[in-house]
Amino acid sequence: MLKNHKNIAGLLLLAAPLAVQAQAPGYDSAVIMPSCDYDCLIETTTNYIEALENRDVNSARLSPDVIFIENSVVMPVGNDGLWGTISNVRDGEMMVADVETGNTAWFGIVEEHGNPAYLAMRLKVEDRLITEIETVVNRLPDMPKPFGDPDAVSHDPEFSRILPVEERRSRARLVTVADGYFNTVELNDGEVFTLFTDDCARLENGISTTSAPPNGGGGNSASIAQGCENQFRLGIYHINKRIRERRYPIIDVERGVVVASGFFDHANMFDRYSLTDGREMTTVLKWPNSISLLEAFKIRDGKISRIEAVFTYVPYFMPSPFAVPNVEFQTR
Amino acid sequence: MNKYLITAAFTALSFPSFTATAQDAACDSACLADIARDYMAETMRDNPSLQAAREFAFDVVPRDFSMLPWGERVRFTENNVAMMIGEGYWGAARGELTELFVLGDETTGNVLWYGITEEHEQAAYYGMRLKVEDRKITEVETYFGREGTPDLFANTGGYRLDPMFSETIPVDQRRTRERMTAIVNGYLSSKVRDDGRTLVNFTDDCARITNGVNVTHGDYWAADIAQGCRQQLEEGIYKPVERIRSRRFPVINEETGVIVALTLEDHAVRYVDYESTSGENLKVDVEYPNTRGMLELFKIVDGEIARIEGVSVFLPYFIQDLWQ
Repeated sequence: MLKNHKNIAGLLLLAAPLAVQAQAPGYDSAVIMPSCDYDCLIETTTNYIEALENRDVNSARLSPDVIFIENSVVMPVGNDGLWGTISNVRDGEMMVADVETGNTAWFGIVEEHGNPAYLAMRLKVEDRLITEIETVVNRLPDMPKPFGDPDAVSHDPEFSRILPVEERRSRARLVTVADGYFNTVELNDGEVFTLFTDDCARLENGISTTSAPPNGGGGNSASIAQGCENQFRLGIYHINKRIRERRYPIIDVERGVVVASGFFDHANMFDRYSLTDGREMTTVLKWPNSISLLEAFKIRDGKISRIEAVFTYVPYFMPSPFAVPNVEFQTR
Repeated sequence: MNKYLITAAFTALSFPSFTATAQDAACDSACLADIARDYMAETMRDNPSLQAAREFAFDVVPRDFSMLPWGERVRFTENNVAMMIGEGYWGAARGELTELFVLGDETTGNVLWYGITEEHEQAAYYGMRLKVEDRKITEVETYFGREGTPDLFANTGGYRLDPMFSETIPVDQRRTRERMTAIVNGYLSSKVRDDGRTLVNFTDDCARITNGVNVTHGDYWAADIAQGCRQQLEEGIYKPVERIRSRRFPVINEETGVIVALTLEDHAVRYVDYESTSGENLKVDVEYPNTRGMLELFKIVDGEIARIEGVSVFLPYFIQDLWQ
């Protein structure tokens, strides 16, 4: 009898780890039942923005353990950074939500003491409470960078259009296409590792950097070449040593939208380079710098058709508190 | 071509030897200064890899740092961001070095190198702290005052550190390390939410220079309001400074009365307009939250601050301190 008990105990000990192994890696459960659906995520985001505008942190649905970062710096939420300066949120935002990951994005214009600034934000929502707030705030004055007229800027309605089923792609493929974009930007030498539609356009900090500048003026990449792919074929963005800490927290398969975050490192080991057509370029800044960004991609039929980004300068190689460093990748 | 030759000549002249006294355990202030100078010379040393990087616009090139005496575990920051030796300034350094001041502190094993360097021949104010243990470099902390940021910047051409930083002071006018630290701490605390009350004393002609800009005299806006270190604090000009944190004082020299302060100065910018103690209407210089990373040299004579000069770096607001 005693012997039998021992055998049963032994079987139970063996069974316990086997049950854990039956769990899909990285998941707590084989069934994901989102506690906050698409409308709930959008509503939570809207609520947060209203709380921010009113500087009323108590009205935001924050988890007690919420993490708030502004331009890659962790700080207390409610009185510091944008929370301490905001005076208005302008109408005309763009929002993206991912029910599977519980993340949302908000792109728009805010005002600090009356001065407009571009804001891109990611929220993570768990159990209907916000647990992560990641913001990129692009302000003036700063180093040379795009800063579009806040009174004239608007988001492309393409981002909110639901795609016909045949033009959609899986989550994995959407990430691959967006990641291919970053691979193309990195050390851009004319090689293209992703696909673009013929009418692909990019808006950066409120300025179209792929179509003809207004009044024929120069000042950004569009004065050298127009169109997403054309610019990369020319190698305009050769100064990007690496696109670091890439994350893809928001994927909307129905609309074909991916929102990514990361850093563009401009090491500036050289200050002159040649385009693939032989034209000589010089870097605007002569010293190492990085840009921190949140970037939305519209991917239609497996091709990037629209890109919208908000970015700002940060000290060279500054990391994100949210990113898990890949040491080998970062130090090459 | 000329620039290559100039750099090569500089290199040949500036490599005394890293190992001449490497067997001695102690590293006095002269030894510390040599190591700092060797480090700086190495950043500017030209080599085929760097030439290729420039000629062919490569961003990834191997580089050999083995000539420098590294410790087993090395920490390196540039503008308060941790990275690998070879990154950042190491990749962009091209041009000339102008050494203005080097000061080793054998008590702490830290050494300051202060001067002007160039990146693709564009000059920047530069301050560096090295920590040396057993004659090996274990910590490298660097700050750049570069042109084109929202921070202060004056043309480097006319800038020279005031000679008083090199002058020894009479014994009766010296103060202990602890007292010098307290005086600078008092200055920093006076600046925070400046309400016109000063917690320390200044010489009558005390001046402060940041990234080559004289902020206490001349035509800088703050000098228009009040001239002099004490006068500006009494006027409450620095009221928008929210806090000065992560204060460290790694290099101190009692004989010359010089102390080096490393700080992070937060500007929360919860308001843009404010009033000085005499009723002047003032405005903050940058109207959004920011932090200034500061490396400052203080000269203290007879318990009074006589001069402050240094480098300021414009950083994201509330950036984490990596050294405390």
